[in-house]
Amino acid sequence: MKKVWTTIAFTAGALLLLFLASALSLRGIRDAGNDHRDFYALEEDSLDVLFVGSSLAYCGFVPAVLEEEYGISSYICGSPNQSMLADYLWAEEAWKTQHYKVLVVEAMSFPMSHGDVANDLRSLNTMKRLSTYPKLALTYKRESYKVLFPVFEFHDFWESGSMKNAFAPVREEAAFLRGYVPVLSRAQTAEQILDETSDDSAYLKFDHADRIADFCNEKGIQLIVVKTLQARADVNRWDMGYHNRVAEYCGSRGIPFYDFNTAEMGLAAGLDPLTDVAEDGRHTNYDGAKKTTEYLGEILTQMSETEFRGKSADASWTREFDDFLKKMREN
Amino acid sequence: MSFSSFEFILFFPVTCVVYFLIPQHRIRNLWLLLASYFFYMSWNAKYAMLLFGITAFSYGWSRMMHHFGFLKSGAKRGAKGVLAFGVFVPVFLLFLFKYANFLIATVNGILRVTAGSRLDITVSLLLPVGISFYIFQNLSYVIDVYRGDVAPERNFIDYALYISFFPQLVAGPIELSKNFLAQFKYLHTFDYDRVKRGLFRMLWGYFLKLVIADRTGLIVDAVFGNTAVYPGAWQLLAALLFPLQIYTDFYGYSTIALGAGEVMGFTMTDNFRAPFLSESFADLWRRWHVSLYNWFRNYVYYPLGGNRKGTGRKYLNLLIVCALSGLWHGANWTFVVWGLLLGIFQVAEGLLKWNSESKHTGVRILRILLTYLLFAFCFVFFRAPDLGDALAVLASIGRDFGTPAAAGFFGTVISGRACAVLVIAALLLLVSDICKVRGVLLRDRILSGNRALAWTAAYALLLSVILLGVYGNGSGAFIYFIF
Repeated sequence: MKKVWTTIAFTAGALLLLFLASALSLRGIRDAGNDHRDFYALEEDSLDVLFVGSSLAYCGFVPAVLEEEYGISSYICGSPNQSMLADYLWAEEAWKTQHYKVLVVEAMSFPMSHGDVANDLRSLNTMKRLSTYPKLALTYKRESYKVLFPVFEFHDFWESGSMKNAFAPVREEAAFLRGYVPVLSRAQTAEQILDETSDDSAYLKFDHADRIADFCNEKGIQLIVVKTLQARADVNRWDMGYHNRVAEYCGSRGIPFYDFNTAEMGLAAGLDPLTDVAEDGRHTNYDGAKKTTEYLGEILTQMSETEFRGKSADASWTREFDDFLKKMREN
Repeated sequence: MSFSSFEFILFFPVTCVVYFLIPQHRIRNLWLLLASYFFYMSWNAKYAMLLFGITAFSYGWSRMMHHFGFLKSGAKRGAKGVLAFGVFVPVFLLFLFKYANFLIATVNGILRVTAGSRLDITVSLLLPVGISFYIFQNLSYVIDVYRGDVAPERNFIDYALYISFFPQLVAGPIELSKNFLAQFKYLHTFDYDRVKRGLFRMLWGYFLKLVIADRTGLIVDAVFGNTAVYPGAWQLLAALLFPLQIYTDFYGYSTIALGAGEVMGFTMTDNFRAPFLSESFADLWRRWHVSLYNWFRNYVYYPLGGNRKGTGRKYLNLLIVCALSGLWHGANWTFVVWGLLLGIFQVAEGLLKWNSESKHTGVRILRILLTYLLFAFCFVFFRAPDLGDALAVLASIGRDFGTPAAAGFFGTVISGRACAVLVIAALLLLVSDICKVRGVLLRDRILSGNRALAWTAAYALLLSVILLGVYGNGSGAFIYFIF
């Protein structure tokens, strides 16, 4: 019997070590993106709109503008290369404290939803609720052990400079950003990315998008898909083939789809790839994000069936945001 | 299913738990046989037919030899011919799968020079994993039955399990039937301490493979994979590191195999006896891949006359065995040259009388270093895809030696921290090998001592394997699986 207890104690110790090493590795892989602490600090049920998506989402929408100009409070749950699966899990997670009315999905999540456990662990790294991880583990099946013990995925976190990250205190984001990461540079060249129709989008799957759509139907949330403006199509691949497939999917599910890369949408929003996209050609800069947000603000306010909470009495953070931008521009 | 795969981490505990839950050893053996074939078929199910066919043939032929008295001790005419056929069939299959194209290419090379023509034949067969290992094990059994060293096995399941026992099926150790077959004849009860020792041994094997071998492989593969880019100094570094890579790769595999066997109650041959502490090639030859060395000694070297027929014949026998041992590794002249070089160095040592141990520590260390250096030289041929490439590497080592280090090597191929890990891990291996040579069994000391020490050591090994191991991009594949 003593040997049984010894074995149990040893195994428990090993699991505890794995758990600690996993926690350390997750701290080690933190990047410069949002840590979502400000999201968890939000007053309960204070959000109207939730944005989800990759860096194209957190550079593409400006919650401060939406609040200041349209009285619609919002937040962006985004991370680099965020997949549609992570979008879904963030949407579910956010619902626990925020009964938002509109969910805006940045469409680059469709190409990114092809399943990468490391990517999804990074995207959900800042999420507080452990209940998400079993769902992620079930999705990944054969790689579920990496979800349960992320150290198996990020075992080499000590090898790069990220070892410092593991022990550094968590950097808090300014509350006025609300998940937004501003970029001020401008693209040097621009191409009409929808001029080409390739078959590259053939691999797209919509199972996680279906989960989001079903979740929104169940909770009475208005789902909107938005593709932000890009000035080049090679790194984050997007062309007419992608546009058509996503448009077809959204059409079949009755989801409004706005692609700001089309001539008519670009014109309507006043977007110009040369002035409104950052120099990497992929992310919208602040000007582009502002125009995109304003256009969305117009659409949202015209939704007769959706009643927004109105501008917060204490929206002083939007002024802080203005000051922040001024400083950024001066630098 | 490699030992370092996720599937094996599931397969092994399930196999063991069911194994110990079965009360009857015959049914246990059947279970182990099924598990072993499942393990083997995870590479390619078709391979199992060849494995089964060779096993059935050797089993049946040995029974027949014994039944009709075609044994060495018997006076029956044609006994040698019967044995020869029993040896020929497995060797022919090995030749067909492994060496046929090599022979055709060699003949074509000769024809091209002499007659300007070529044979228009190719054999398109995939090389089954571990074929050289299990065919040699079958051969040892057939020869042992002929010699009367072992009685022919009656129980086919026991025999088939002896050939296909999953821990040693794909890369050895090549176990002689008289040592190993008998272990399938009795029930191995669950022994907590033995299981503990076996698991610790497996953990050490994973450390050797994933932390040392695969990390060394990052440097070696980067340099040898692009010799045109890296100057001589880097090629020298890679050449010096390759013996360490292949040692820890194969020693790691063997240690996991021995540990897995130990968990279930089986004792197998330790393939490595601190080979890099050898002071001579003769010594190294006995400590490196011990089970293969034993096989060639028993079934080739002794039948050729060993050292009983004079010095000249002894050296000739040695060279033959070394060349065959090289050829056993692969169908390429590079392996033959590698084997011959090992033999030539042994002959040279014999002639210079360098194969006796020195009493001076300084001299001993120098001899150990010199042996390693020459061994690394031999391994340039082992690693190279062809003889031309091996000679080009050796020529390049002598050239451009002063060229500055390849820019960014320590940032891109391997980080500074990873290098530090590699050095510390290699030092740990050195300490372990020194203890082994001195008869100190570190594992037993650790596990039988203070529990806190044992647990700390086990946890440290576990964490090292997880955190410091190299995963992905083809790592985890054992080099000897291709032989």
